[in-house]
Amino acid sequence: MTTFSAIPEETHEIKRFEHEEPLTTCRFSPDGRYVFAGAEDLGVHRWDVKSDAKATLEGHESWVRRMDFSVDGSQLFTAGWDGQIGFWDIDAENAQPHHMLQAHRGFARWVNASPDGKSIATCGNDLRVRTWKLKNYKMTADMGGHDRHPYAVMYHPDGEHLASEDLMGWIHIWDTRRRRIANKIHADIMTGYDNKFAADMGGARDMEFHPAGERLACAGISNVVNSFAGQQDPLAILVDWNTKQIECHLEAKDKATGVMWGVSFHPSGFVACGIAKQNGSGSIEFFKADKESIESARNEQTPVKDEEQPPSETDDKTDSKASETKPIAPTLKSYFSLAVDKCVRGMDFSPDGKQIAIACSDGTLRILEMDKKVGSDSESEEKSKG
Amino acid sequence: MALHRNQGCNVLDHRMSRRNFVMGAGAAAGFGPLLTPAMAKQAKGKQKQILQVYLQGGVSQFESWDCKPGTKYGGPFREIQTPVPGMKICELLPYTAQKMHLLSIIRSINLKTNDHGVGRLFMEKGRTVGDYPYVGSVASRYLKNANDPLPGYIHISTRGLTDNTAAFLEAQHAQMKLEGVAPPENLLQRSGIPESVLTKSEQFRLQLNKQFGTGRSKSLIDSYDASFDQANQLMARKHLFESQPEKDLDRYGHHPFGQNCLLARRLLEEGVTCVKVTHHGYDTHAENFNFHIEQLDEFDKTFATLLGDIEERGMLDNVLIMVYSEFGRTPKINNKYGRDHWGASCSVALGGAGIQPGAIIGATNEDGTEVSDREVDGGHLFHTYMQAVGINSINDHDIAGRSVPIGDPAASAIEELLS
Amino acid sequence: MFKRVDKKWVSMIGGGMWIIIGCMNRIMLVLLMMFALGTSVEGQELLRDRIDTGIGLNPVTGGNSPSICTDFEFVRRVYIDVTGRQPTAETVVTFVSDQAPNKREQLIDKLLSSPEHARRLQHHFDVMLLQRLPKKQVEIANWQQYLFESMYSNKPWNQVVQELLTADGTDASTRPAARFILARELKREETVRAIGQTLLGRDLQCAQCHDHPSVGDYLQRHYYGISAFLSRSYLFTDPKSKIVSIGEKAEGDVKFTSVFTNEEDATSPRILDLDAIDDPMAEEEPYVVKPDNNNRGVPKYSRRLQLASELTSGANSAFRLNITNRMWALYMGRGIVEPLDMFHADNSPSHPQLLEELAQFLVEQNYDLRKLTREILLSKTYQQQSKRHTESETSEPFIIAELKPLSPEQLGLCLLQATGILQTIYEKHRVAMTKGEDSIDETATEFKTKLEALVNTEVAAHLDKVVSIFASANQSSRFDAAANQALFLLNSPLIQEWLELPENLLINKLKSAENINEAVNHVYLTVLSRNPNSDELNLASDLVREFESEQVAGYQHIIRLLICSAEFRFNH
Repeated sequence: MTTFSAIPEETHEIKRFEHEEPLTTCRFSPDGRYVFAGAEDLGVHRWDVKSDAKATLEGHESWVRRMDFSVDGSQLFTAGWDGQIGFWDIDAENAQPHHMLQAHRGFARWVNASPDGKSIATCGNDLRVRTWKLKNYKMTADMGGHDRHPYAVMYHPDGEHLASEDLMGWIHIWDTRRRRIANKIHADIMTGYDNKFAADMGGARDMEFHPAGERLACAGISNVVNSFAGQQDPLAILVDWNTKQIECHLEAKDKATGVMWGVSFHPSGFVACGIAKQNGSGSIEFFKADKESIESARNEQTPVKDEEQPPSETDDKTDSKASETKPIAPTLKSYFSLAVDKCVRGMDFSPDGKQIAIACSDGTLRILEMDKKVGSDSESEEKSKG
Repeated sequence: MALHRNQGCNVLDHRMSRRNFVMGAGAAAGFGPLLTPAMAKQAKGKQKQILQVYLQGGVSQFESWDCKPGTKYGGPFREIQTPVPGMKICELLPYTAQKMHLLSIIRSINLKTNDHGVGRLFMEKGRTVGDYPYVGSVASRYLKNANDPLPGYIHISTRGLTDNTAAFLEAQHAQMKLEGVAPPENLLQRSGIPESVLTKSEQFRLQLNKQFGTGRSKSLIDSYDASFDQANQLMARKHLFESQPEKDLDRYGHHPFGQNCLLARRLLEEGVTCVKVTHHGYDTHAENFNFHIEQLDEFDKTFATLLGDIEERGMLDNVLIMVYSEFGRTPKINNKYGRDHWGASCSVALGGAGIQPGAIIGATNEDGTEVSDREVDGGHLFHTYMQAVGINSINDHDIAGRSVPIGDPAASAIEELLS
Repeated sequence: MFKRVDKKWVSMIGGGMWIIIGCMNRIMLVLLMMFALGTSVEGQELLRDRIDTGIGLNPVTGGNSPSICTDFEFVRRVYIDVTGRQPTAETVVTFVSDQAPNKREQLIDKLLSSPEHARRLQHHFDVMLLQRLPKKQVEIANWQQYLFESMYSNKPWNQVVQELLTADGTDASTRPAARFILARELKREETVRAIGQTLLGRDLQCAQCHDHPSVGDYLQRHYYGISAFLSRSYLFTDPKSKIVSIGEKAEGDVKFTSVFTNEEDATSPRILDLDAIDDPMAEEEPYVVKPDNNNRGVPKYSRRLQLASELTSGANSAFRLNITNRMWALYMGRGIVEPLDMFHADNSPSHPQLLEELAQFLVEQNYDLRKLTREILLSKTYQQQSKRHTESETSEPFIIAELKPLSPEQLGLCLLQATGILQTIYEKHRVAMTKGEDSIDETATEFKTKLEALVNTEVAAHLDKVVSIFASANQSSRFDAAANQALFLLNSPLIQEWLELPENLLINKLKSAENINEAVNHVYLTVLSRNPNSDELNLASDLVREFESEQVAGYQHIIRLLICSAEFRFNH
């Protein structure tokens, strides 16, 4: 499939599917025929992109906030907050799983298929990072090390490493063969302790490796002010795989308050992030995240000390953002922001890179096309903002 | 007849006559016995106490005592079974669930407010307006023995307001607020005083007061002396505020709530009438589910340990257990995965002294949007707590010159819950 | 022509004439004073005497013989009551040894006109009126300054209350008085309750929801009658300046329902059982300024302004009886009606006729609180001993002087005095003010006012600390004592800091005492305003000796012991 050169500035909505409950996540199937969404109910919902036919897959006893597919594209894997991983045929007429696996105690927060198609990795509220053989659903690794909930876990394209990030911003790089931690990176900018209400907030709400494996993107939050009221900043980071350092931070160009629920590398080179804002609206932010852009952001950067952050009333549970000797990663601002009238809770590029699916808080799953409009009147408009 | 503040009497006499009053001998018109007849017998034995665990901010009933899994507003959590047939609570409380045979749940509370302050005060005072004493101060006033050395009402919290909880009751019944397990302010003896001086100093002070008190109002001076007694008793118990045993902390949890609950148990063992521990914070307008996992995870194991220890020590018959919040949370989940304030249908858990365990009082409808059976409010709860520890809440407070009912006359105790 | 008169006779006659002139002067003086006090010449008792008669301490009218307190007791009592702190040791000694027959009256007059007295009244009325509410809208310091100036200038009480109820917050000069309403943010329950309690002596709280269940006099319509004066008023925030003030609409009525009977009723503004005040005929244009987002409503007829005049009018006996009772309670330790906010038919005053007389006097004196105070302090009743000599002595109220727990502010000032800090700060500022100025008159009002203001500012933080520990929201006049308060007195490092301040004049004086006994004596005079008896002297001196070479620490320890005593805690 040739890579389509998307034009984010022309992004407009071409289709919208509706569901009764707010959505939590969405994915295109690898062949592009379906979009799947998790919702604030027990179902996994599938729409045929062309025919609009809707089906609900039933089997979970709680919400689903992460899905992935088998490498051959025929299987859907769902991670549910019931601790189970669901295994589904994506085409199944009878919407029952062909297997449910109790993978974790408490939420199963994430599932990701291995590049070789033989395994999946999961993580959950029992603090474990696990891998499972798809052939027989047997656990092949059970790895501890996170002290707080790991929110996401992804295979590196080399298939021999996993990356997971927890509530406290600790990124663990796992060696899957030796089944142990190879590196630890503390993205402490992605966590915060709410002093007023006595709780931590953080964790990777989305995570993705660049297909070539040179970078890891993690999306979440930063700068907790009043997290019980939703007052913190949406933020993503890019980690350089070779150096295992945080390369840069990604922030919306206009100051935003909320959560970054999605981050994705587009084949043409930009990075897109989906934001749910505190005021109930959302946005998709587009970033030029090439080396030159990062370098120029670094040069423009004034030494960012902790004082520039809002006055921190936190105790020493929050680590200092950077030591005096380590340089702080530069912040990239989005070059284009697409306003969405509702919160964006998940996003995914279509396999051909032309479209984005977004899962919204009003229960709509919207397909947006990143190209000039073809001029049809029958389609609903998506507001675009330059 | 003029209602004068009675200052000429001996304060011990006054307390004795109050005890007679309390035991059922009071005969003045309109003043029935302060203790219910059933309780009067028990009152001869151990004094009743109260443990309050206040979940600050409004714990979600969907995520605790009244789950609606699989319904429109139910959220992602499921129910788990308890030892009590037919009683299920949220899966976020696995340790507490195992102890539910010791507790009961009231699911049908309608506070008619979504305001933190109004809700909290309603739950503390049993009234929506006006200056009334909190449960703890009332308990201290009517249950505390005159010779009990420690304050009658102690509130342990590392943050939060210092309220004046005694209203028109004496200041000694106001909550003594402890900042977590730190010792009360000014607890430590001044350094540099020779030991011989310390002993003689206390004698000197008492002598001075005795001399001054000759021919003067004994009740005032006795009252004043009592506060110094209490102070000395607290100073003698400073070990309570020194480091806590590691193995206990391992069980209760190495965090402020764990430490506070451990201190609470020790204070109850020392005879403090009412101990309140506050756990922060539950006001989850955003990230309701993640934050409830975090907070209830901390609450669950600690509370279950505390409850278990109280039971194990044979204290449960004498200690009323209250777990409450200022309201619940909305069925509707907002766009930040949060739930907002909801006083229209919320829950409390309670047990111990005077309470039938293993009961579920009231119900909400299928999707948890309203009370469907046995609606009660803060006034009913207040009466229930009072009656459970043997204070007749229908009567007036025992204070000269005023006529103030203990519980709101517009409400009454939840009789079916009283054992 | 002039017979030589014997010198002896000349001097006798001359002396006699001087005596006659002197007597005439005195009689003139008395007559003038009686005239000034508004009493008639022929035999009508001064109020102070009528107090004694009313209480039963006037033998002439058949009462008991009073047992007047000693000079030691008097000087302490009146200083604490009138200025909030006990006298210095030097003042005690000077007063006790003064031979002037009217020294008590002179002292009373001196203290009543002092800025310290105005400060004491500021503290007292601040707590009475605002019940320690936190700052809302109006800066507390401005409010306190307003109160101080009102008290210092002896502003009539009815005028003060009118200012509290009419200030709308728009004028910076009158805004401080608006704290009475603005601190309650015009919330009905709180505002109406405060008016009832503090200005009418009636806690109408329960009557919000139903006629009071046990006080027959407190009816719902009493509560809502007052509420009706305020129900059209609202808080207005100026969109530009963001300042909050009080606006008022020209319409709106008050209805109420009993939660017990469910009967509905309505009321116009009315003060208790006086006639309802109906609104005048509605005009075409009822507004001076129409209310909208940018403008504070000003109606032509303001119910709220009516409240000020109706409440303070002569027809409303509750107003004068309340303030009279409270002034009596302030100096006598308890009200003629107790509790102070429970005036009703089933709670009779202990001395109803006396209360009426006192209130009548106050009205005749145009609500001059200082005049009423003066009469109370000059009565023998006020100067009674607080100690019973036999068990059989009657416990009729006010026959024996009450023990009066120090208010938190009084306790703070007394602690600062007892530890020498107050004296030290006074001296520091006095020296600074007189430095280089040879001809400053330190007795001039201006000097004393300025000095007190400087001292007040400097002690504010210390006072706040003591107040935070000893104050409660409890409005009862009943004494309260809690363990944390005892711990403060026993162990607080703050008090130790005061005692160990290098420039502490009291400690330095003790250091230079001739011997331990002398120092202990001085401590007693400073803290308790008396000399120790021999037992006390021995015990205390022995204690000091136990500190061996650390004698000063010993003295500091004695001070700390004495401040923990009941004798210190209560005015007596």
